[in-house]
Amino acid sequence: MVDEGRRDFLKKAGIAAAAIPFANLRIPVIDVTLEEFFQKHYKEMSEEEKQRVIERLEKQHKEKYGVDVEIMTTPPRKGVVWGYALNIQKCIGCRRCVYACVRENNQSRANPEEPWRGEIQWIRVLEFEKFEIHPGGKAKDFRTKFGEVIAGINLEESEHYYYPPHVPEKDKFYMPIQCQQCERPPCVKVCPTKATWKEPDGIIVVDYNWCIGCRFCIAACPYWARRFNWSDPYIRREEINPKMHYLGNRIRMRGVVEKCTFCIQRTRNGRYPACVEICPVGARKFGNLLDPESEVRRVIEKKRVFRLKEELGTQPKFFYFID
Amino acid sequence: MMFSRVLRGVFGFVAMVLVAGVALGFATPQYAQETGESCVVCHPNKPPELGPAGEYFKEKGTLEGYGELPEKKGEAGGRCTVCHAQLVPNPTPRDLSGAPAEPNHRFELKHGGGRFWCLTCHSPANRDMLKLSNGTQIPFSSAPQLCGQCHGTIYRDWQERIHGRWVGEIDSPRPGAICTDCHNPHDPEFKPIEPEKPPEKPPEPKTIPYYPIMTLIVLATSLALAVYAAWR
Repeated sequence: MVDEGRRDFLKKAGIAAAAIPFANLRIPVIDVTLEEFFQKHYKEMSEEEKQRVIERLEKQHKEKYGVDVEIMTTPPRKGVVWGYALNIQKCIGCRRCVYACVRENNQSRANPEEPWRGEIQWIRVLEFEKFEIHPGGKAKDFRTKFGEVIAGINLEESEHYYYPPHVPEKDKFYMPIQCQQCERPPCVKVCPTKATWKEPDGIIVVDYNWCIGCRFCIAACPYWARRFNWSDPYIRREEINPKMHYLGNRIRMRGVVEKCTFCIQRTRNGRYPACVEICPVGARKFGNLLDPESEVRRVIEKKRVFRLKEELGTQPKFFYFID
Repeated sequence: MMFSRVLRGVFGFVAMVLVAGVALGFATPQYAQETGESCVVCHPNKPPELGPAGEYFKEKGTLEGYGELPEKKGEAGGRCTVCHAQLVPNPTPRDLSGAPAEPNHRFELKHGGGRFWCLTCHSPANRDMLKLSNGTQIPFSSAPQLCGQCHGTIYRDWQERIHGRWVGEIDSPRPGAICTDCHNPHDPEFKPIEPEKPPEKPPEPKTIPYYPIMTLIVLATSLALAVYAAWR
């Protein structure tokens, strides 16, 4: 045992000693420095190592985008598990949340030359036809493995490119979809490099420096919550939000997966997520699931609540409710 | 001594008459027609230059025929007594569209489906205040108390922060708005708004004429094989 520790130490010391002169050498084909290449997993880094990585990342942001940014590593709070509640009866489908999220989280914008190429949005608002749910009504019958059910909604029949002059439209309802922050996340299970994991405060995060871009998690997510950077992000310098978190809204690189983090850079510093703050109808509620006085707990107690695709056993911490 | 006291009394009376006259003058549209300055009586926070509605009012002396007015956010609230102190409350429901200081009265009262009239919520004694059903006067800023008389469940939800907008720190949230900031109390139904633009659609996939080419290749190969076999 002692030997092993010693050997381990010697190995690490050797690597470190060997790496110091070459730390800033670039590996040509994959275009990363040696230091970046040998960067530890976020959970295994000590505070000093984190600090060094942050300094390097801030310098990179400065070089690449010409912006002074502040990258935080705020740890999760004790006794907090974040939960979200969304009132689909109130949602009017105005997409204010989508763009508040894009601005807050430095997502890649649509490139004017090829608009479809770079655009990434974490929230997708689905539009459904309203119909009454009763036997013999307009609702369709679905045969599932649990038997025949009269289903309220069919996600396959939703529309997310809707663009009428005014919302809400008559006989339509809207359902924003984003990361559901599952308690048993299938995306984490499939990640081959452990680049994505669940934090103690319940947020599923991605270490973009460890993501190899295999996109298994995208295939595994039943909620269509993850997005892939097919190209280098397209963000204008003046639109960059300089308040960043290592696990959250720092600008991603080509070839990594990203997702909603409940605005980790805001919520871990005591602020509401951007989508909650902007919602013009107050349909979005956010709070600590362990605090019985929090908004989300009160919603769960008082309102009729459902979770999306509950039968999959993913246990989302994202609750949809109606008054 | 005596003389000066009398004089003072006279001066005081004259001053009072003057002040009252000016106040009344301010309140009347005729004065506005001449100067266009009466707006500041009710809109003390407005900038000195007139907006398009103000220009129209200055020119015509009325807002009749102006069209859509910008949504008012209650900045005139609390200045109603400028006119109403001199008026006797009339509890009969009637058309108010021709009343003076008309922008404040030019709306259709849609709240309550015809069951309400101004004095249901506004205090008849002091028009700068609202009135609870037990007669208590409350300021405009305490509107939730008034709304909660009928909309009790929603009021409770609001107090528990599951209705409406709450801003600030998660640990100490404060109301980002009270009832009347989001809901127009005279016409509470939400108006539809413009949506933001949808996500970009991916381009149509380029179709490769896969089947014809493959069919040709397979046919040509088998033909060649057949010919070769026959040759041999």
